[in-house]
Amino acid sequence: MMKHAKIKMQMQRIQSQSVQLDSATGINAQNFSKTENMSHTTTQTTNINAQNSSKTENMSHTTTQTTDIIAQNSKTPLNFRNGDTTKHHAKSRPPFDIFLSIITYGAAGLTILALISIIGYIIIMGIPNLKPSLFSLTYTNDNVSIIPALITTIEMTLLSLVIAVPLGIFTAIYLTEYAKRGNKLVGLVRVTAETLSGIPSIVYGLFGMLFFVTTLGLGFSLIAGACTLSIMILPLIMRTTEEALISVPDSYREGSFGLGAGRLRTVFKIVLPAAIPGILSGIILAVGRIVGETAALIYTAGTATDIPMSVTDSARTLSIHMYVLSNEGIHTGEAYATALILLVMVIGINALAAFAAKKLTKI
Amino acid sequence: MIETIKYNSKIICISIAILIIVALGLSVFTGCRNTTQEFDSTKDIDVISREEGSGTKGAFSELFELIQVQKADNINDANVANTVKSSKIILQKDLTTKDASVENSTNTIMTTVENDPYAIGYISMGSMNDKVKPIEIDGIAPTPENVKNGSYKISRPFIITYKSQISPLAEDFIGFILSKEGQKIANETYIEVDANADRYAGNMPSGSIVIGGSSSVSPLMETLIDAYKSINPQAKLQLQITDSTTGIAKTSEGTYDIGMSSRDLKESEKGETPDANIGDHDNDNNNNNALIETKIALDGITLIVNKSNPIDNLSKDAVRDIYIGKFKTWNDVNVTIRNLSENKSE
Amino acid sequence: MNYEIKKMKTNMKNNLKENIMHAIFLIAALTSIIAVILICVFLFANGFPAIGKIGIFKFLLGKDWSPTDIPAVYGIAPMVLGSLYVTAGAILFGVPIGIITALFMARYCPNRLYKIIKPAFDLLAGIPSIVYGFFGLMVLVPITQNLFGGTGKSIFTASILLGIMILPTIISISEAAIRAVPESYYEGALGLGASHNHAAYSIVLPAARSGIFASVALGIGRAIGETMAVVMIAGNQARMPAGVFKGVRTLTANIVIEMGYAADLHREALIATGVVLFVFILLINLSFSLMKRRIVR
Repeated sequence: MMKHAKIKMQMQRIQSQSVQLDSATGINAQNFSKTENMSHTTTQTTNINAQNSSKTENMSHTTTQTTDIIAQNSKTPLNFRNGDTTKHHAKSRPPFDIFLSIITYGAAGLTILALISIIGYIIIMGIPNLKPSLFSLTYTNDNVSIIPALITTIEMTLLSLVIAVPLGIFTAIYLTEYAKRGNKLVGLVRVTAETLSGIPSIVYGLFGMLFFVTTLGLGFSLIAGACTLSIMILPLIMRTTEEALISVPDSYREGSFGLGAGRLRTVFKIVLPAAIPGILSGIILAVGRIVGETAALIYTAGTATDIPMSVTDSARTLSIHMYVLSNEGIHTGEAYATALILLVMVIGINALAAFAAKKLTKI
Repeated sequence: MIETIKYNSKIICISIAILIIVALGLSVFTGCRNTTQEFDSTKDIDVISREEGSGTKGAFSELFELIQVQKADNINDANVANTVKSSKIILQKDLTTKDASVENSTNTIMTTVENDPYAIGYISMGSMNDKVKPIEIDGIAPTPENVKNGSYKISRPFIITYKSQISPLAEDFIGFILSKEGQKIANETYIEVDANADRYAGNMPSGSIVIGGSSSVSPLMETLIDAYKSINPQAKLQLQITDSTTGIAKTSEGTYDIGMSSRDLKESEKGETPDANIGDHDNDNNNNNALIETKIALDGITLIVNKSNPIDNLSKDAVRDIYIGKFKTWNDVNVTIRNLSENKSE
Repeated sequence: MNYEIKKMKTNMKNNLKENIMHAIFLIAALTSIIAVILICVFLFANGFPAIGKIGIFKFLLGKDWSPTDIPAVYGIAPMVLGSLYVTAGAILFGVPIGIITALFMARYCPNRLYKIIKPAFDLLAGIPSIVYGFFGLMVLVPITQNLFGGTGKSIFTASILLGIMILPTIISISEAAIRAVPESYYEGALGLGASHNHAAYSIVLPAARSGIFASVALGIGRAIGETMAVVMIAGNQARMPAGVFKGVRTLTANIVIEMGYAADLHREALIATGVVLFVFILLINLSFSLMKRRIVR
């Protein structure tokens, strides 16, 4: 990394020098574009800079070196698949190069097309169906209000986070701060976390139904749903926290230990605060996943329409609300409106994530 | 010079890429618009069915004889008899063609039929809208009136089920459903079962109950609950939309106070706890588990096709032949219709 | 003297606190292991008896799925194949486009455009799958029907939709991997005379392959486990896949379609379907971590 930065600095210096040179000695550097010129020079600079102290000497030397290299290149094509080294003086680019450009822009364009069509679709179908009655406080069959589902979504999110965030953070702390090097448990925890993050949500749904709903006897309830979801988001929070903790420089820890703080104090007062932006971004990702989840919740949280008053009540989140609405074909319009509101929520969560990351990293 | 060439080729690349994307976008656009093309009857019929076990499919299959049933006395194979759970039926085969798309929601079926000129599907009469075309069966239109007077036979009951000992609130709510007011609500989109019901005269107890089950019944149940809540504001009624089988099982298990079903209860479900696979944890209250079933409304099942489909009348046999895969294209159906009408005119 | 005792006391207190917290952290670390064990135990305990009753070969290789017939037939070969085909199709569409888009984002994209499309792709990742399902049903299905005939609900449609759905995963992870390749690689390539395209495609891209493989693995996981969107657009016929433009039922669709109605052996067979799906995911994870190890070496 250090070397890399050095080279970059030298590159910049040489670029400014070559501009001077151009005007001073009138050497025509038309044959190559500036960027190419720049990078060609860099390959040679390290030695040159050391050898020559005089500026002008240095510069002329460099340019001749560069032209030499280009001359060599055109004589002996390097070991590239298409021998594409003739670009500098070629009048037209080789077809393969053009093809590469086309597929690059084509693929990016396709992705953007898909993006625009999906978001456009949601907006076009959703806006005409937005009605004030959708936002009334209680759900009836006529107004199909989304407010209870919205409140449930928030409750479900909070409940899942309350369970998963401490577990995830503590696990990450154990892995990075406490476990000794070569501890077998660390590898095992990482493997299991990887496994957990790969399990499809419907399998979580089945497990939640078998374990929380039936075996623990929680029934269709907020708590059963939240427990299932917290297992689902645990690896996400754990991994992001772990990465954030690892990226905290060791000098922080050493400084803290040096001042006589214990390990616990170091972790909670020094390391954890420094890692908060990373942890927060993980939590916000997890919130996004909770908001969009359907398959795991229909088997664990049920579909009751009322605002849940206790954690043992059944209730539906926005995603489930949309799923149920769309099922019978009577409230399809409202389903689209719900989709739009979900989209707005996701935009809000993402914006919050970006904002939080920016704010916190500045501090 | 070369700078400009390079610049140009970059622009060419981007423009070609954009061209490809625009072409794709256009094909997408035309793809969307093409649905109004002329009906080509040589095309295959796109048969759409519901999932196994759904109340709608059960009723539909029964009414169109899509289920082949063999009774026990025809076969003396002891092995086969052992695998049978309850009644005499020892062989049952679903004849619905395996090529039929299976959809698990009314909405998906309606959207598919709306967009696909060659599709045929069936939905609950209460979900019908004007984006798809209903099919008459043997010349009788699928309307609530025809279901009520018995001429349109493709219907099924909406059933609620509950234990003999229930809370006062549940009892009162059931009373409301079967009262004149409740039946009037049922009659708005479905068909009432008792046109001469008495007025509701309950005592409006407070409390809370859970109602759950069939997703087909739930739109009606939601309206009934709303109406009941406006009469009896202290009552707390929770609705769980799942499906008929779960509704019945959970009612007998005690999770739901009232279960909803869009099909008749099976013998095994009525008597004792259906295999305690859902709730092994509380087997204490096995007494009084006999379930009572009550019809609260009738619902017709409507066959629907795309609006560009010229056919608007099918015989019961033709529908059956479509669904068992005997008729592959819409032409096959047309030929049969023509033959029939010729026979009649002769 | 007094002071020393006090100091010792606080030390002991600190030690105790330290030990307790250490234990708590350890327990937290064990939860994920416990969770995996619980999931395995509960799925296997509920699924294996059914597989045993049906017969493992009959279950995995049986071509017929008729759970409501008497006697019922439970064969999930059509669904296994369906899941494999749809996932393969999604990879075919999603992976090349995703990787190239990631390269575009890292090496081609002008800064101004990047600031718009980066959050937009993040948004794509956050859209609930059921919304994708609606989109597929209303937009993709009619298009495929008009272009290729049939019902429009097919392996092809499902593949395209899943391809779109795995794009954000592939793009974000691949982009991070591509950005992690040292700048000197790219500059070195240019220095040796390669064009911009060439440097990007034959030097930078291969150098990021470990991260790209990880993104593909996650993409496959998402495609094979996707439920709500696929169920709307795949046709869900429980028969052996008959062609790219014919409908198909995936393992996930099988569970979500029939779970609500199932009882007894049927229900256990569906949980067993979940077990098969789970084992699939485990195998994919395992093979990719092995592959990654080999690449790193």
